[in-house]
Amino acid sequence: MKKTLIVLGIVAGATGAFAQGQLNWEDGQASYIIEILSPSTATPNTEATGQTSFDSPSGTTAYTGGYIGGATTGNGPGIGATPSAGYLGINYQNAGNFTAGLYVDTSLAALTSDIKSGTPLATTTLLGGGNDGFYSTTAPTYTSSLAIGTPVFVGIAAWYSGSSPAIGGSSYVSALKAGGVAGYVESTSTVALGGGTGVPAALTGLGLTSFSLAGSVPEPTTVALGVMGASAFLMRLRRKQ
Amino acid sequence: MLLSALLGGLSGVSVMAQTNVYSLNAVGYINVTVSPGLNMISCPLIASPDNTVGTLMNNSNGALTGSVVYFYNPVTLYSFDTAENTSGKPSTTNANGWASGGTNVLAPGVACWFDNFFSSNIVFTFVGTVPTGPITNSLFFGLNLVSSVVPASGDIITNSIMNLTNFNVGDTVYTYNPLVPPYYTTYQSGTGKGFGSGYNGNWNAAGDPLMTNVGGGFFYQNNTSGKTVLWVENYSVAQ
Repeated sequence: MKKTLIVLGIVAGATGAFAQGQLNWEDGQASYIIEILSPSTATPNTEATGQTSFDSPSGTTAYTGGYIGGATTGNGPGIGATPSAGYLGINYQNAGNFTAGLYVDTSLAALTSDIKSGTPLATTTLLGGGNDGFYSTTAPTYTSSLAIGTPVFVGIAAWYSGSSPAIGGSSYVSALKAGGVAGYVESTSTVALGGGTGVPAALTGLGLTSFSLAGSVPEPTTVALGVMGASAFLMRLRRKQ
Repeated sequence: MLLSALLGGLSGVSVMAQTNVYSLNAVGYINVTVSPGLNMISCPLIASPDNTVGTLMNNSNGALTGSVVYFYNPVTLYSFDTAENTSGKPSTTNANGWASGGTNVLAPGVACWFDNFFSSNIVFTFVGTVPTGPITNSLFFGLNLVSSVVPASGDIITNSIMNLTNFNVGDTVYTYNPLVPPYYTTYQSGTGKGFGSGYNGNWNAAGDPLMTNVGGGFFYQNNTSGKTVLWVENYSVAQ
C-alpha cells in the first residue's frame, strides 16, 4: 500500500529526463511467485494457467506437466513429471533451453498484440535445480520509455529457445513459428510504473499466474475434423459440378 | 558533541608502534531500525571488510528473506537485490543470502531503500570507523539517494558537520518517514522572493531539511543541469 502511494503520489518530484518508469519483474518477489511448466501431457497444444499450492498467492490448479528445469520425480502434489525427452523431443529438464520475456503496454489489447506479434522488452533465463520452474530471481529492473506513474498491463511469456531440436525462437511468437513451444500470461489489472523517488513497481497483485508451455500444432483430433470437413466440402463441390 | 548520541562505543586510539605513527580512529556502532515496508537507510561508518549489502545485512541465516534493497543511480536508475533462503524456493546459492550477491555498496554518504518484508521492525547494528577529514559527496543533476557521510542527524543545512550550504537555488530535498503518512516531506530551496515563504538561499515553509535519524537518508534533487553540488562534510576525532 505504501509502495502504491509512493509511486502514485510522490513521484511528481522526478521530472524531465528523470521520469522514466521502472518495473521490478523478478520472479519470487514477496507475494509474487509464478512457475513455468512443461506442456500438459494429454493436451500439449493447449496452455494451462493458474496458481498452484506452491505459488504466491497460492491456488489450486494442478498441472500434468512439470517444472521447467525440474526432474522426473519429486515435483510435489499437483505437479507432473518434467520429461527429458518430452513433447516435440524437447528436454524440459534443461532450463537453459528456455527463455522468459517481459511485455508491457498501456492496454490489454496492445499487450496481447505485442506478445503475439512482437518482441519482448526484456528477457531472462529460466532456472533449474532448487529454483526449477522459476524465471530469474535476479532479473534486472526494467526501465521503460513510459513516464513514471503510467498505468501499464504486464505480460510474462516463456518459450523454447534451444537448438536441439532446432525449433527454438527468440520470442513467444518466433518460437511458435519455428514449431516449438511457448506460453504467456497477462495481468488482469494495471500497475503504475515506479521509479524516481518511489521504488520500481512490483508485480504483486496483478493477476499474473503460473502457466504451462504449449505447441501451436493443432491437436490430432482437430486436424482430423478439419480434413473431414474439407473432404465433405470438396465432395459437395464435385456433386454440384 | 555534534555526532549523534547514538554513536556508541566511540573509542580507539590505534597505535602503530613499529613505525611510530599514531592514528586516531573513531570506532563505533550505530543501530538502524527499519520498520515494516520501505525505509531509507545508510551506513555512515567504514565497515570491515567492506560496506556491501552482503556484509552489512548478511542473510546467511535467512532472517531477512523476502526483503529487498534498492539502490539508485541518477543515470542507470534503480537496481535491486532480494534476500532469499539458501534452500527451498526461491533460493540462492550465494552464501550471504542475497539473490544478486549482495554486492551493492552502502558506503558512507550513500543511502538505499530497504523494503522490510516482515510485519515487525528489524534492527541492524553497523560497526565501523567514522570517516574523518573533509569528504565530498557529489550530488549530480537529477535525483541522488544520499545521506551524511558521518553518523549525524538533525538540520542538514545548519549542522556544522553536515553543513550542506552550497546547494543550488531551486534544489529539492525529500525525506521519508515510513510511519507518518504521507511519508514524504518536501523541502524546496528558495527560488526568489514570493516563492512560498522561501527566499534566495533559504528553504521554504517546511524549514531546513531534517534527517531525523542517524543511519537514515534522503533524496536530493539537483535541479540545475551541469552544476553538480559538492557537499563537503568535515569531521575529526577532536570534535
